[in-house]
Amino acid sequence: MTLLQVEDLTVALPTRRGWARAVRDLSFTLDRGQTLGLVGESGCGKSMTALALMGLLPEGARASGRIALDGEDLLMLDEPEMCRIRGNRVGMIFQEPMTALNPLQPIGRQVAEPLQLHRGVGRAEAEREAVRLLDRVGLPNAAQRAHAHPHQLSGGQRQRAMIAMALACEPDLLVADEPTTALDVTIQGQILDLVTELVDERGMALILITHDLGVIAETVDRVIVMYGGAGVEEAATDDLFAYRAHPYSQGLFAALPQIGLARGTRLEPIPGTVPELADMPDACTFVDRCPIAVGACRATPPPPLAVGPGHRARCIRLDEARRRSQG
Amino acid sequence: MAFFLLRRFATLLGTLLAASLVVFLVLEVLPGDPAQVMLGVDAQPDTLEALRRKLGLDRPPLERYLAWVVGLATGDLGVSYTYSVPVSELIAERLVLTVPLALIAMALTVVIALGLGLFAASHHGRPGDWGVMTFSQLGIAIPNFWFAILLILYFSVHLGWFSAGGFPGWSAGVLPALQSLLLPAISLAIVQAAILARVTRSAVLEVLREDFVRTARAKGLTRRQALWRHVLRNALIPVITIMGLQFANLLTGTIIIENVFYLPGVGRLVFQAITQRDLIVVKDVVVLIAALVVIVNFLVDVLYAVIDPRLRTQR
Repeated sequence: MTLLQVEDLTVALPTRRGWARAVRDLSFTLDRGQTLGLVGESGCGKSMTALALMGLLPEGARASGRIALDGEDLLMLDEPEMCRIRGNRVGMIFQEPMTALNPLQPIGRQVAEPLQLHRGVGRAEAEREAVRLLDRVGLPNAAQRAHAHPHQLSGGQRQRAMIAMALACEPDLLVADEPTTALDVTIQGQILDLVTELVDERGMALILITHDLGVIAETVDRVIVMYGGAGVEEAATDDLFAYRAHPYSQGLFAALPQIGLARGTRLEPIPGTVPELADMPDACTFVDRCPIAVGACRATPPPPLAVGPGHRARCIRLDEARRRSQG
Repeated sequence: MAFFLLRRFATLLGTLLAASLVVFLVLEVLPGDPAQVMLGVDAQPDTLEALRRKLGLDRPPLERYLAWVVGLATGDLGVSYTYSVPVSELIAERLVLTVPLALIAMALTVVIALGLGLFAASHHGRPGDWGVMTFSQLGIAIPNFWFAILLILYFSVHLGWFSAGGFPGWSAGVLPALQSLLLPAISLAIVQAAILARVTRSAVLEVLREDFVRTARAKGLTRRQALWRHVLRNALIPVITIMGLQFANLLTGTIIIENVFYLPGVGRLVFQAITQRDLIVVKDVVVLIAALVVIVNFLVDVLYAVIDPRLRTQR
């Protein structure tokens, strides 16, 4: 059964030059046990999407469309109802485990907090459960470390505590926003393994947000490539790594250094820079940087067109893009 | 932690010694004859000579300084020239007024400032915030002695709820004594509270932007729960720093306020001692006030360590 159904999600932010859409008409569905990656450069709207799912958009932001969790539209819920969803049915892991934890509280207390909040258990019991959770996420010597403050833990340990916190109430959906970006490469792998292991073990759905294609390849079943707030291409991970249909996805992968590439091979940067949100073109967001754009690309937002089974791209020049990628 | 406290305590002693040295140098060693200052320009030469001997001015400065510091440490503060009673007794009977006054004023300051600051921060950019900011701007702009006079006019003269001044003493009962301290405490507190409310507001706003507040909200805490459980304690460090500094202002404020309300406290004592040129009393009281300020700042340092575990583990 569908756990999460996002339909035409649009997030508008107030800027000095009027409203700007940080997420535009994003749609996807996610079942229990499925994993989805949102990938793109900074400012492509992937983090805004996560915050919209949590109902934690910055003040003044407006979200429209539909975010249905088990059929219930989260955008229609009021604040107290949303508070019962957050940390309970939807858990979230943030990027920077140093600043995302309260520096003045022992981590055991912080992990116990959602349990006290949503399960109505007492503090002592919640803290005992927190120790079990910390042990499960692989924090060595959990019973003792539960009394440690964040500054006494390493980056990887802090992220483990963060995961324990997000999973405390066994949510149906886990949203991980760049969970490994701030970590050493050797720790990154361990944390990703832990996340996938826990997702399998608990049958949760996972939305993983990252700019790192390597992380995507290792972790998720399906990917949405985002650019300028729009989901420009969606495919199963293997399909996307086999063939990119959208000119932006093609550019993104071509700009990536790869092991095995002959020394001296030049990487191909995408021409131009990401425009400011308020300057983002109205129709296809990528049109100003696209090598194959034509006049029609500026007319209307491109619809999602089928590339293959479960593989869609929002581009009206898919044939030309295919020719270019093969030639 | 023990090392942290020890180091702070050493700093405390050093600061006190330095303060006493400055006071001593200014009053007794710099050009000018203390005896002449105390007796005025018309004094007879033999009276002057007698006072100089009484003050020990015929002895070398170092010897006098050491004798004075040893006296301070052992509680022997000398004898007041104008009152002819030991200065320690004089100060002790004044402290029972000034210490409670300062504590009440500080407590009022904290309650008002934290309340208003938190309120303003949680209503950031809305009318509640502007209201608090306007109030605190007024509070900062108003001189406390003038505010004290307004309070007397309204609450004592017009409503007759409080006496316009004076102190019945603790022997008259705790309630009447506290009652006579309330208006002075409010006068002292209002300016400090206005400043501290602003500090609290900006500290809270700053912490509200921190990532861990978003984490707290992501766990399902309401805005208010996040504010009380995660924001407040993190915002306390700057607030407590300013509180420590304000305590010094509060003590100097008592010199004026105790005069406005005719309260026989340490502030009035030092004021009278200065007008009567009783340098013995001035010297001791100034060091006492310096000691109170330094001790409060030591307590602030200890509080830092209580609040923030990161300071405990640092050496």
